[in-house]
Amino acid sequence: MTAAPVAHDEPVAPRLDRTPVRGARYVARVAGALLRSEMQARAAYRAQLAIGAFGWVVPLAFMALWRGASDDGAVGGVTQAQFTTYFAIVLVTTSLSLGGGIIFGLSGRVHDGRLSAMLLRPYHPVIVPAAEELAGNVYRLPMLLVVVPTIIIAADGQTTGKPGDVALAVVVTVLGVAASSYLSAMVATIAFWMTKAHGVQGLLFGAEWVLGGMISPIALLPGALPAILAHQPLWYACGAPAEIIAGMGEHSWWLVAECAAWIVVLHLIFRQVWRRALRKHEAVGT
Amino acid sequence: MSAQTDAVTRDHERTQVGSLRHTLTVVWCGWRAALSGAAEYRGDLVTGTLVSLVWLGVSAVPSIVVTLHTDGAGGWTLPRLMYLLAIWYLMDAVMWIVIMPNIGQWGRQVQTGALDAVLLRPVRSLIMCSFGTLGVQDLPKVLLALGLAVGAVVTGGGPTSPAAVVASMICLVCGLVLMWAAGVLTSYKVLTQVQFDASFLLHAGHNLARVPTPLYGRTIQVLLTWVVPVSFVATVPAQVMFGMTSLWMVAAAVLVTAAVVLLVVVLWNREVRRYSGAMS
Repeated sequence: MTAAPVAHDEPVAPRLDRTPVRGARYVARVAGALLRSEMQARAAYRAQLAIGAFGWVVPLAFMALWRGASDDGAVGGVTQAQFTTYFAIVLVTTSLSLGGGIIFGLSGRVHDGRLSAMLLRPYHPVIVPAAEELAGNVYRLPMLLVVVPTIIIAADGQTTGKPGDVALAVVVTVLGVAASSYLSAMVATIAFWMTKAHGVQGLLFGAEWVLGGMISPIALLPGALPAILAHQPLWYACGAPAEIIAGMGEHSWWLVAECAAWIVVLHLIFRQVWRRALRKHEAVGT
Repeated sequence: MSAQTDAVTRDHERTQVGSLRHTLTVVWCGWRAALSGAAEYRGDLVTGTLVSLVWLGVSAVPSIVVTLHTDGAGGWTLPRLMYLLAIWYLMDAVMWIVIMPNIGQWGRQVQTGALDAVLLRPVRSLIMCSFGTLGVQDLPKVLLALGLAVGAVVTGGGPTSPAAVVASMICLVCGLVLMWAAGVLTSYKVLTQVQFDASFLLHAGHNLARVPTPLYGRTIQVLLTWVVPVSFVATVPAQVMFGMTSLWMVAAAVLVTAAVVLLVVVLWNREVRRYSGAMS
């Protein structure tokens, strides 16, 4: 008599995840997971985030100023209708900026010591504040998609109406925000050298206002500034999409190539800056 | 003898615990402590002044660029726009010197129980809670704003009359009081609803005051004057200085400010009565 084979529940060793903890795919996976988690965390405050979008009205103030200036005719070739559209789109691009979250989110973690724990994780600490800010933008965006077209229609704005222009504007915005986020991350590293750095770090926003085209289309700035400023990331993230949709000037897909080149250059610079900054990290809160 | 006794009694009443004078003395002590504390960060004050100067320049750029291409916007020439900017910047100073360091902390104070300690003091609670400390780093903004205002009035051909200067100053004081009142109105609810945060409305109103409200169009101007009194914060003082509006607007500014302050006091007292402490 032979005994029937007995099925044993042998403990099975968990299969190890052999995914490498580096590379673009891994970063994309981590960023996606962080974004999902941050969106879930913010879901409880979604109404507050959406209503909070109304707190950002600075582009509307400048819209009023330039509309008043162009009451009697075009200013520097820009009509009142184009000013309306330009500043309405600037309202969107500036609302979706990740700069504030990255700068103050990372600085806060440097100063209170939380960065030490984050450095042990197998991904770059800058991804966390960026994901937090992006999650907030997800809840602000629907409000903007209602308000901005309403402003353009109510104030007789003018758009090119070409789908190609809209596509170009969207791509330039995404790449521009990515490029300017690198600048924000570099400004955030000032926190490694200075205990109270918020004032100095905030100057990047001042630069964004003037160089990015938030206070006026850069074409209206004096001298050689318009030619120079049309080739830097702050303008790609803020003024360029607005000019494209308002039909101001000629813009080609070369802009996308320029943005991409800027991202590569800024990425390489940021790696160097981050290494130097980490050498100054004291790993304790202040 | 009787006169002497009366004088002593009056003097005693003036410094009576809980009186307005006593409250102001306590507030002054808080401000002196803030100034002493800031003396340890003198470098911070220098950095803050430079940053404020840069931001003032950034805020002036739109008006300057507009006047590079046109004579101005809706009758607002560069000196007039600069005077309005000076007033707006003074309001910005009030925001960061008084409102944010005090009123902006109410939510955190309710959560930690620190507000309980303030409310238990024998002083006027609204004054103590909204003026208890100073954001010293932003104090230089006041001087920058005054300098810009004087420069703008001089280059703009001066005020229309001495009465215009007095009227503009009255409107300016009304604007300062309205800013404080707006700060309280957007935050007082936090006493009973800990997560309440309407500060974005304060910032929105403040930023809308950057440009003359008539430029927003007739309908929005009426709303920003008589429904949400944003016009009285910066536009009306500038209009009065350069004779761009009737002097009746001065009376309107005083009446609107008085009404808003009354509303603030009533709502604050009601909220304090409902406050039960939320220390965690």
